[in-house]
Amino acid sequence: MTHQQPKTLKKRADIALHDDFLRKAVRFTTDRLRGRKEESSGALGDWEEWRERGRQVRIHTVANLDYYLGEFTKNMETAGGHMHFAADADEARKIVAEIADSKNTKIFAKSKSMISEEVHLNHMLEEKGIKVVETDLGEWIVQLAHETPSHIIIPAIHKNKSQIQELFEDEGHEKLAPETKVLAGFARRRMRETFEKADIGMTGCNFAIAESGSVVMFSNEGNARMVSTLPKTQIIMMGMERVLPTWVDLELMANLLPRSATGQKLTVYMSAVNGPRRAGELDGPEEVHVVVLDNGRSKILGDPEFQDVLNCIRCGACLNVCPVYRQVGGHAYGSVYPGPIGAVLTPLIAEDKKAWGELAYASSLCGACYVACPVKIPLHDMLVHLRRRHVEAGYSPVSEKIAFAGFGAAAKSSGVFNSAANAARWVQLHMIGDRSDQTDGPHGLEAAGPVAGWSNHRALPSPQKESFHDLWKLLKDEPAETPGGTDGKRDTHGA
Amino acid sequence: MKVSLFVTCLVDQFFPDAGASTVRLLRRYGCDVSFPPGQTCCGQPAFNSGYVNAAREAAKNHYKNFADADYIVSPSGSCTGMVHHYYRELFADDPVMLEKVSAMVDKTYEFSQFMVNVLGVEDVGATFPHRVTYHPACHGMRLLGIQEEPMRLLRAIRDIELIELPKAEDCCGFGGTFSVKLSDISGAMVTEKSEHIEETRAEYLISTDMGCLMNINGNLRRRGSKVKIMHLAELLYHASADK
Amino acid sequence: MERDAFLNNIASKLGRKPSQIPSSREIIGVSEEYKQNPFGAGAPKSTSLAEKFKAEFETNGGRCLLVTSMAEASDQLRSVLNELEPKNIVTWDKSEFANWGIDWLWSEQPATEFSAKEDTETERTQLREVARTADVGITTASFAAANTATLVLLTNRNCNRSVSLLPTVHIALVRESQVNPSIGISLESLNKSVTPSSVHYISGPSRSSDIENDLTIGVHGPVAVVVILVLGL
Repeated sequence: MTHQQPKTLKKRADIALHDDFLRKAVRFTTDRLRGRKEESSGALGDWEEWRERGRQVRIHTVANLDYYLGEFTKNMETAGGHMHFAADADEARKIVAEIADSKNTKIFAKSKSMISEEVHLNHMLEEKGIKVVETDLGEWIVQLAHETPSHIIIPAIHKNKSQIQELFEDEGHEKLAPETKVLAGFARRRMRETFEKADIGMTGCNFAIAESGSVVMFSNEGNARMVSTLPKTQIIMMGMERVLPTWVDLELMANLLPRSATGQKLTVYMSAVNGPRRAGELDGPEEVHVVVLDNGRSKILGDPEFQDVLNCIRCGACLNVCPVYRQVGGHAYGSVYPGPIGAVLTPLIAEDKKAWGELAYASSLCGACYVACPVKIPLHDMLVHLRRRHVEAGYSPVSEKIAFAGFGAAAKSSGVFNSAANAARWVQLHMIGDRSDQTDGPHGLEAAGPVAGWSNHRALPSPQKESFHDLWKLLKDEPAETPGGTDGKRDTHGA
Repeated sequence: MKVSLFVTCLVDQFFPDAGASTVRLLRRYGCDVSFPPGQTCCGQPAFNSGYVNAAREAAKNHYKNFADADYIVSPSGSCTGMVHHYYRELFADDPVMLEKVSAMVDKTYEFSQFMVNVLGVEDVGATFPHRVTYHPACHGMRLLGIQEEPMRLLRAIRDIELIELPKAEDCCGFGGTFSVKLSDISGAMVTEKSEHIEETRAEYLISTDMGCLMNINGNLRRRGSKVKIMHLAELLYHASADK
Repeated sequence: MERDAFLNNIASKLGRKPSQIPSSREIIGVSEEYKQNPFGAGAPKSTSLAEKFKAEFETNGGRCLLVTSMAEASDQLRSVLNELEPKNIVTWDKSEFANWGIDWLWSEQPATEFSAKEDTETERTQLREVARTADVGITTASFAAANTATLVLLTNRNCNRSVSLLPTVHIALVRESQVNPSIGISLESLNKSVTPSSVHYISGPSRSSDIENDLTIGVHGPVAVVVILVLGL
């Protein structure tokens, strides 16, 4: 999270809503990725069955996480890798700092790792005087701009070619052009030097295969391979839940993940690292360190309402279908993880639940995220449950608590409820009037309290002279009309 | 066939004609429609905002009013969705109530699902020579599984020109309290929905949910749009009523 | 934190003691239907795996030449190199190319093989030096997969990582018998053997759409990949 960002969701969203390029870029990106996912998942023929398999495999893995993580550890160590376990972000940073110190690190080359952003690793390394370079093209752009990524898969969608050209020109002190080929070519040349000079290469981990102790990375650019081939030391940071039992389970994920993320049948590179190089090998790291991170994840285990959020394979499909993300992009969430998955995961792993709990309200609960998720995480239900917890913890506004307490009391009896509703209708009828056709607004009472939120963008509905309860007095005894149509009544079901 | 009407608080106060149209259509096909007057609200606004106790009070009252019904029909996908998707959760800690409420849940239908799947009616004898587009309400679609039923009813209307709404399945931005709590984001969402509706050059927008329609209509009116909204039941009834 | 404390915490949060065996499960990997036909609903059944591989590989931006003999493969390789005019070429150990009849490569072309023969440290430095500016890297493959057009490269002392990664163009020599319907068979083989220090699944030239969603080919990995595939072998 950048230091310039405002502290509330509403304020951050406001900035985003006024950024036309950002909104265009987000829509363009999410439309493209969404369309590609539809196409490539449809091509498999029975996507719902794939989703169910994905869900079962992930549920099983998380339910047996201690076992599989234990197996992974044993096998990675047998292959010569070093395993480290970090209870929280602080410990994760300490572990990396120690490794970096022991190698007199000057240059630290990173390929995409969201978890390293979660623990604010770069800042710590830079404070130690270590040059940290993000080698993933989108992450490098975001790093040069001193920002955070705005999308899980395409980190710099909020930047246009001219902005990228400017960033690259400042970095390389050479003239470039706002053309993709030129900019990508610059990145290729510059990054080569980094790959060759880096003392440590860091990658993330898409899946850790328990049966062999292997870390699997899905990538397209080649930088993940670079940082796991050239530097003498490799560090892999992973969330503790990113485990798969076997290689054959990887084939399942190798279909679900790329198709859901970008619509590709498979990413250009799927690379497995099983410890450091062996005797006689001419390249590859001398040392491999795997840092396994908890940072709040174990708190979610054993909680039937939320445990399934740990099934996430970080594909970004939920972002691409979320109508809220579509309007405001990733930075509005203020968290490393944006979109629906971010709105659920962030409050769960955060220390400050009061502040982050508001993310669960950044949703109209439309359910598109659940339908899009390749492992069927019920994010829409989790958002409602998080809201319940937020209220139970006493974090919701007092006025809202009072309003809903009143609602609960009124809803018990139609006498009370209808009086209240009729009264509100009376006010609207006699004190606001029918403003439903007005193109300007809000005025007067329309701008009062919560109604203002509505009226800023919408006319109020026409106030009715009678409620349905009133209409029923005559409707009750109205005779039935004859049915029309060719079908009429096909099947009476015992009427 | 005895049907109890679950009119919903929104329809009761703002769109009573949708309720009346529902009643009249059901009666045509042999339903003896009653209206439990003690009904208030299904509790969804409270539940979705995290106020489970308030929601449970509403749900208890709802159960009280509909416990003895044979069939419960509602002109709202989202309220029916609330009942089907979350009522069991509300009473998970009370096995006796859970069983009773479950039985009631199973008898609850959204209007178009009831017409097509229970009454077996797709063609009500309606004629409507106008350009019409349809917005599939999210909760009805994703919580209840409403897919083809509204389209089947619409397609059977004579002389109707049905135009597909671009990005139809994208949320209109209502989300109940979301529309006032995060009103600017909601405003951006409904603006995009309105733009798509205007692209179709339709004269009428139809849906199964007055929440969505109220939200979209509010934005359309502000934009000075000529598009009119109608609940599916209203369209079917008025386009087929004896003149 | 210590490993045991970390794992014990997980078990306790899951409401039980740490387990030595996982719970049983029925769903493992992909479905039987997919194993029988990993080409999707609408795919034409008539084409061979090699032809399917070629079509998909070219969709991914790669180039695939189907030849009918080792001699023809050798000719095609010569032809591709004439086209590219590389200043230097790096290859895996010669023994990997044993039956390909391409000894001319190391005598007539500026090609160097790399594997640990004498002083591994010196060879490591040399590989780094040469590979970084190499125009072409030539390898074989252990498996290929037709449905995703994937090459599977295993790492060992004769087969290093750099040759398929650092040069501008990667050329892979593949036999038809190595082409499976999907990556499934290669994954099952990993399951049964000692896992190499790294395994690389490569499905075309490197790419990115990070700049304004504009697809560009050739980012950090090779900008071009050429597969010479010998049918009938």
